[in-house]
This record gives sequence, C-alpha cells and structure tokens, in this order.
Amino acid sequence: MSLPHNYEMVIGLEVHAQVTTKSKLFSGSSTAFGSEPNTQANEIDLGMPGMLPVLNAGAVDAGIKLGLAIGADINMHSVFARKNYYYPDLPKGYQISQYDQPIVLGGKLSIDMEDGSSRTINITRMHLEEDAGKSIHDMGSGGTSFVDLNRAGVPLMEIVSEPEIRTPEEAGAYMKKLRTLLRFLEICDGDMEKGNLRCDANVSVRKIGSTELKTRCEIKNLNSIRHVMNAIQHEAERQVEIWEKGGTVDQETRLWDPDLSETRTLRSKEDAHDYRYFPDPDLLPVNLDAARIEAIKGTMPELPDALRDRFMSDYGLTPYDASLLTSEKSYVSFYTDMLKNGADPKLASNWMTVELFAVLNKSGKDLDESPISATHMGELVSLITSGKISGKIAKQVFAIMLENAEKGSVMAPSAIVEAQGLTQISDEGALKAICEKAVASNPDAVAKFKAGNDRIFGSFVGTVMKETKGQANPELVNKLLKEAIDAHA
Amino acid sequence: MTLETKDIEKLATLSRLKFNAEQIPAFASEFENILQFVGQIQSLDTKGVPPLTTTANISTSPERADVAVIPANPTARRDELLANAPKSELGFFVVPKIVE
Repeated sequence: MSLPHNYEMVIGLEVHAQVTTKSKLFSGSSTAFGSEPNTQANEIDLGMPGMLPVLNAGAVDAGIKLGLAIGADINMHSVFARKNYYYPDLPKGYQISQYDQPIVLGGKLSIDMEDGSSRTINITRMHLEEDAGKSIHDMGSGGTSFVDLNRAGVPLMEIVSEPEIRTPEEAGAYMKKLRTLLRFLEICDGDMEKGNLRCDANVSVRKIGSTELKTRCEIKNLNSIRHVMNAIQHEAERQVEIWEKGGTVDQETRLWDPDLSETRTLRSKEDAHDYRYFPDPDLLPVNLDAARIEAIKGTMPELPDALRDRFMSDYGLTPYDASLLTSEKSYVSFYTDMLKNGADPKLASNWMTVELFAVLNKSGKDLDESPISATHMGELVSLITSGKISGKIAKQVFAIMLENAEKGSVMAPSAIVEAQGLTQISDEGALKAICEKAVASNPDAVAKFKAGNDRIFGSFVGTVMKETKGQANPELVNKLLKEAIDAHA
Repeated sequence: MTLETKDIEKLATLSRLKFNAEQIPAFASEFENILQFVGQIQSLDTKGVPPLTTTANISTSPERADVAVIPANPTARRDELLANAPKSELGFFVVPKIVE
C-alpha cells in the first residue's frame, strides 16, 4: 500500500505485551484468564491504604530475556515511577510504570518482507508496567459502568520502536516478528484476540525525500495485525488529504473503527493527560547484577533469526520463506519432520506454506490441528522429489488425504499412489510412442508451432496427459514432444 | 515563582477537586510558600551527585518468586473485598458511567 502525491509514512509502534507470569507484577494474585470478575484481585491490586507492592522476579527475568534477544542494553539500575491519572479501572489513581530509567534501552528487530526485502527496525526502549482493570459499559441498569480488577496489576512489557517503519506491511511484519520472538522466549503468548498483545501506532506523513517529522497522531488499542495495517493506511491517507488541501494535522489520540474503516478523534492535544511521573516511593530501584543476566543468557533458546539464517543456508530458502517457517516453534518442528525422508527442502516449504496453510486457513485451524501429519506431508513431497509422482498428481493425492482425514481414516500417500495406480509414467519408450502419436495426429498444430506459435505446444502436452491420465512425467513429455516435433517433416 | 489562577485551576482539575473563584488566591499564596521552601534545594551544588530516587537504607528492590496465591474460596474473598465498595453488582464494582 502506498500514498498519493509522493508522500511516505513515518510510523512508530508502541506494543504492550502481557508477560506470562503466574502472578501479578506487584502482588501474588493469579493472572489466569477468564475467571469470575474480581476473584483475582487482592488488597494490593485494589489500592487499599497501607498496602505495599513487592516486585515479581519472573517479570524482571522476562524483561531481561527480551532485552538480550533484541540485542539491547539491559539497565543495571532501573526505577519504577507513578504515572498519575484517574479512571475507575485504575484503583490507585496511578499506574506503576517506568519512566526515565526503564529496564531495557535500545535493541533491534529484523523483518523479512514478502517481496524479498529485509529491514532492521531499531527499538527505543522497553519498560515494565502494570496493566489496568477492565470497565464494562453496557451491563446493568443505565448510567453505570462495571469494573473488573482481575487484570489490574498484571505485568506488561511496553516495547517502543523508533519511527523507522515506512509502510503498513512493515508494521505488520514488525508485529509478527515481535510476536514470534515473545513466543519463542515464552514470555508472552502473543494472543491479540485476548488482548495479551496490543499495539498503539504513531503515524505521520511527509514528502518522500524529506527528513522532517510532521505532526503525528496516535491510534490506540489495535488488537489484530490486520487492524494495525488498515488503521495506519487509513490514517496516513487522511493526513495526506489534509496537507494537500492546505490544512494542518492536529496532534491527537485517535481510535480505529474497523467497521467504518476510519480513525476518529479520541482526545486532542489540549486534553492530553498530564501524568506527573515521579519515582514510586513504595518501591526501591531495581539493581541487577551481571551474574543474574549471565544465568538468563544460559537459558535462552535458539532465536528465530538464528534459525532463519540456518534454514536459508542449509535449505536454500528465501529470507521470507525461512522467516515464515521459523515464525512459530510448531512450524519449525513440522517442517524439519517433513524433511526426514528425503523431501526437497524448497518443495517441502512450498507444500507446507502454500497448500497445507491454505487448507488450515480455510478451516480456521492451527498447524498443531493439521489433518495431515508432518510425516505424511514429507512423504508426499518425497514422492515428487524422487519422481514417483508429478506435482499435479501430488495435488490429487493431497486431496484424497484430506478426504480421508475428514472421514477419520489415515492412509500414507505412497499407499494412496499404489492403490489408485497414480505412479508417474517415466518409461521413455512408452511415452515416446504416445508423444509421437500426439504429434502425428495433429499436423495443423505442428505447422502453427513451427510458424512461431509457441503456445500451441500446450495442446500436445494436453493430449499426452489425457492419454496417460495425467500420470506422465511432465519433464520427459516436454523433451519427447520437442523431439517428435523436430522429427516431424 | 508566582502561581497564576490558571495554574491552580489546572492542579485542581488534575486532582479532581472543585473550588470556587474566591478560594483560588489563598491556594496561590500557600503554594508559592511551599515552592519557595522547597526551592531552597535549587541553590545547592549537585554536580556529581547521583539522582536520589529513594531514601530507604536498603539499596535494591526485594523481589518475590512468581507464585500465584489463590484463595481457598475466591468468590467469598471477592465478596469481602467488594463489601468495601459503595456499590457492587454481579461481582463487579459499580461506578457512575464513564466512557472515554
């Protein structure tokens, strides 16, 4: 997606990732999802007088992990601050966050685009903070709001990017990559539907070639990657229209309405909050020691970028395909299982990410609910790799495998090929006769082909495939047909 | 430092407090006195002194292990806590309608 009148977008993302700790950032209340309202909120979460917060070591460790994974500086000294505002789902009247001394500074994230390009997006900072509760406005009698504080105090990591993202596609790729990383590190489940990963987008536009930063708008609470991308595109188009008409963009906070496909004002700069941050006197500074960071380093899994690079060099995959296959741990194991019996790696990548993923998308399933096992997918690809069946026949076999799965039965692809007699005909002698017959029976087409009509070649291939029920080895057919045409006087 | 009416009004808004116009000048002079008192710190030379974020005499934050404490009877515990609220219904705190 691009912009008219030579404009480009300047996009920075603020992502809130819920840390998968068992207890809250400053209290022992459970963080489990979906419990009865207010059954996971204690006196600390409710902000009762005299309560003191005690920091959750697990949340600090998660912050260190992410910092290490993005190659950032871990601040050995960080400070929790109070961010003051009033809202009923924030019982204390302030949110405990980090301000001028966050736990993580800097870092970067690499993204691989579908068009083959790759970019590195710099990260400004990451800090720990507590989540607010949830207000529900459409329950009970009119004129009231209902407040559930189960989420109040749940630990969040706020990850802020530099304004280096230039397109909605890059923003989407950044979100996906961050999600992958968080899931690999097992510090956030990345579930955007549940709100465990949320995004605010800062968007401005400028003429291509310019380096100025024009007034930006912040779009709040985008809860799917599609919403992030659509909201940015629409917001950027809105801003271009304003500048082109000679107007000025006002700095404001906007909301994305996915039903109307538009952003609208939530609050203007004049109403902007004045948070009056100050160090929280209830909490001491967090001083880390090198030994703790070293110990966490030792527990880090192989990261998606390292896996991607290994997939590219070992299997000759493109950066985008390698990135896609390493975007989930389950993808990595499925793919490597597919390769165990001699399947060609590139072909296996295509079959998994194109054919199988299309089926999964259609039925709204995840890979771990795949109707076809990795072993059978691998075997199917091996059959193509070894020349036993053609790609076209493989699609037939794949369809049969899916039908079987639906009926609850499983049959190995090789067994299907045997049972249905689908083995590819690679017997040169037999095919040669069929090809020669196809050429001899259509002298008109031969004449046209010789006169330069290359496209008519397909009609010979069609005849041969019809004759062999699609089982002829296509490469061999091409070769034999060319020979037969050359030999045809 | 002098405080103007609009400064006091802003502070009142941020603190969710309402004052009438006659009350404001008194606040202005009281705040000015406080600022003047605290402002003495500005005259100190703090070069090379690290910022102080706490006056506690232990240097680092204690941490607790990530363990969830689940009450034996979560709904009974919830009801105890809700009993402190002016209004509750269906296990929720009920507040005057607020939509941002």
